Amino acid sequence: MTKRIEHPEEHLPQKHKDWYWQRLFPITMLFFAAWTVIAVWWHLPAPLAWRTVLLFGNMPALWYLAAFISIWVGVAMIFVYCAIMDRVDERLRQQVVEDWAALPEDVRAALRAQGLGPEGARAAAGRPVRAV
Amino acid sequence: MKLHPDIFRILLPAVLGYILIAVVVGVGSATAASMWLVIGSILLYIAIAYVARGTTASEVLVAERKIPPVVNGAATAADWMSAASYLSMAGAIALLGYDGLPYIIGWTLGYTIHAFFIAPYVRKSETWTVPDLVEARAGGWGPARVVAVVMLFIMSLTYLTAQLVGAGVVFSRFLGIPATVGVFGALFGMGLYAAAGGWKSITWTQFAQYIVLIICYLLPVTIVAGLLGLWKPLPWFTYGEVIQLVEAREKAFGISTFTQPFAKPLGGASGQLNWILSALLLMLGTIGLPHILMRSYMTPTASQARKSVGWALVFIGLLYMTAPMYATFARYALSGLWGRPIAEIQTVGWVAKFLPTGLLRIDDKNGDGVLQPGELTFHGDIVVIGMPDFWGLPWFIAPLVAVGGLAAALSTADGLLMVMTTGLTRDIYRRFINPRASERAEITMTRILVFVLSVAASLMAYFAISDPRFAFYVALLVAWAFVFAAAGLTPIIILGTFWKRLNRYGIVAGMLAGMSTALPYVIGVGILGAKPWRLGGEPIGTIAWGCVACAVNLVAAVVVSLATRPEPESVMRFVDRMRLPELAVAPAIAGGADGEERRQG
Repeated sequence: MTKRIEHPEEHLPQKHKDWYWQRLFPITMLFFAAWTVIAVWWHLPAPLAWRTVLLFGNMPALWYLAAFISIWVGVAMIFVYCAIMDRVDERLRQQVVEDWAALPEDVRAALRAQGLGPEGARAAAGRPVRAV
Repeated sequence: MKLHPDIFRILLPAVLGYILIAVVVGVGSATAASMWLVIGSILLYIAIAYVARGTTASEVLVAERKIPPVVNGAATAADWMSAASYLSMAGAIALLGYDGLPYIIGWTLGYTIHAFFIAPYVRKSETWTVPDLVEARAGGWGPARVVAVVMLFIMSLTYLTAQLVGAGVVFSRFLGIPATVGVFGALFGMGLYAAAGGWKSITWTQFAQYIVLIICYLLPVTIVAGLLGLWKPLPWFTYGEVIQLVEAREKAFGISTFTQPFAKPLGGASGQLNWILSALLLMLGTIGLPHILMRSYMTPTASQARKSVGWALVFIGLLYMTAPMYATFARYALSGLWGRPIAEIQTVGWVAKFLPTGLLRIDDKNGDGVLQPGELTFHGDIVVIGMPDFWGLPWFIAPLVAVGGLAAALSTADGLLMVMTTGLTRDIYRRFINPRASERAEITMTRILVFVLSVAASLMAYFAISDPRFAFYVALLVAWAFVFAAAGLTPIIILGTFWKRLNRYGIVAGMLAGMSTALPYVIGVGILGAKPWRLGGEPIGTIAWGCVACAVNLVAAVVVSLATRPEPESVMRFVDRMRLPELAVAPAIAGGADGEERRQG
């Protein structure tokens, strides 16, 4: 009789965990580095370099950088990050299904209970996934 | 997204009735209609809370983890945008110009790193509260939870008091009733619908409150933009014209201009380093505030928690990109008084209206009878409150601004109230005092505590308003709540996912060291008036100091963790679970309601 597992992802083989982490970490750090640009770096030279620059013919660039541009670049970064991470998540699910036979029985049972398995392919989505 | 049938059965008639009554009453008396618009809005929120009330522990504590990302984003935005955002932020920018902009980037860009480092992992932990998460990451070590609850109370109670003061001020400014009485009006609304059904009713109420507050915020300023001819195509791209006009006046009178950097102090100090660190601290504090962290628990999946943060920033951004426009228009209106005879100015309708309130002050220092820039001072709140009057907008705009302000204050207050309540019921009572308490007993206790805590916070707000000196500190407390959040929780929440070596002792040491660094400086410099320390030759204000406290938390957590034994394998698996996405469509509530499985350490 197999042991009931509530969180099968905890019990995945280490290679799947490592594969995911090796993508999650650099992607997140890359976005974090980009975030520091809008949060910190571009506000450093701005008071000197952009003091007299006008956007749209009348908007002080120095002002607009903090009062508008930073916010919406931040929003865009979140949604781009979401899209990339969704693809990574999907690829992981696909790999788990491809590696089905190598998974421990209790993990397979738990995944089946949640609707994931080779029988119905990926029960949750099923759309093609590009390589990440 | 499936809408609840009661939305059509109860809410639609309620909204239509609210508007109809306002119109009918408005024909008879503008004052009565204003009163109805404000008080009726509270009744409307109570109706929504009743319709969406929660009856199970999962509904009360995490809204069943079934809130769609867009709704959760809007609710997060309402939870986030307090009376300080709605009323005071535009005022701060009008007063400080460029030096007030750390509030804009600081209170928005924190959400970007929230999506990267916090939201999906908090959701994936499948814990129930922030202290629950801290304890789970500390291998089920109870003291970690207790320290987290103390941190949570330091942040939330100070913030809640400030919110209730804000609600009292909204009542007072718009309805002419004493702010001390207004505080208890807010208590009535907030307590009732928070008690109705916990996070589920609060979430749907906040969703409605966001819609109300953003419409009420945008309405006056976009009308004014139309009067100024700025809809070509959108005023957010063209209000630079008005900035130019304001700065031309300032140059003519020989004073520092609106967009001149580092001309005015922020948090007790000025300079570029203080500007950057203040903004950074507000970002770091944003992601450590418990009522914002809590919202990540409510979406069905970790991916949706991430998207919900994106939507939250979209909704927050709408208000935050508009606040500088408010500030500019107000400064334009006020600077239009400069150089005119004071006797003539005092006959201007809105000047005569606001002079007795203290929001506007004229002091003819040189006795020449002509108003100079330094002789006109204003309170920041006049920027939003006074906008309809500056530009002669129809009478019903002013009460709508009040309705929005009230929505902002109440939506934040009820989130904070609920965080503290669950901190006591789930994190203390259920965990340490009566682990066998039934779900029904826990819900009953939650409802009782909502009332007890809301009365306690209202009393604190009452005393804050009654004592002008205390009221001064309350205004600062909002910013200090961010200092405490960044110093207490932010580093360990991030490290908890991204560094497996973090252990229970590191978690507790980090929280205590961070708070011990933040509190004395805030009290010394902020309250007792001690001279701020200098970094790189520049003075560091109390807000910017939070960055130092945050770094101390981080270093203490790392050093102590490395010096003590690592957590066992069960905690490593818990971290793996937080990091990995759901492999399939997981049940809405996975894991036992107690989280007992995790407490193995």
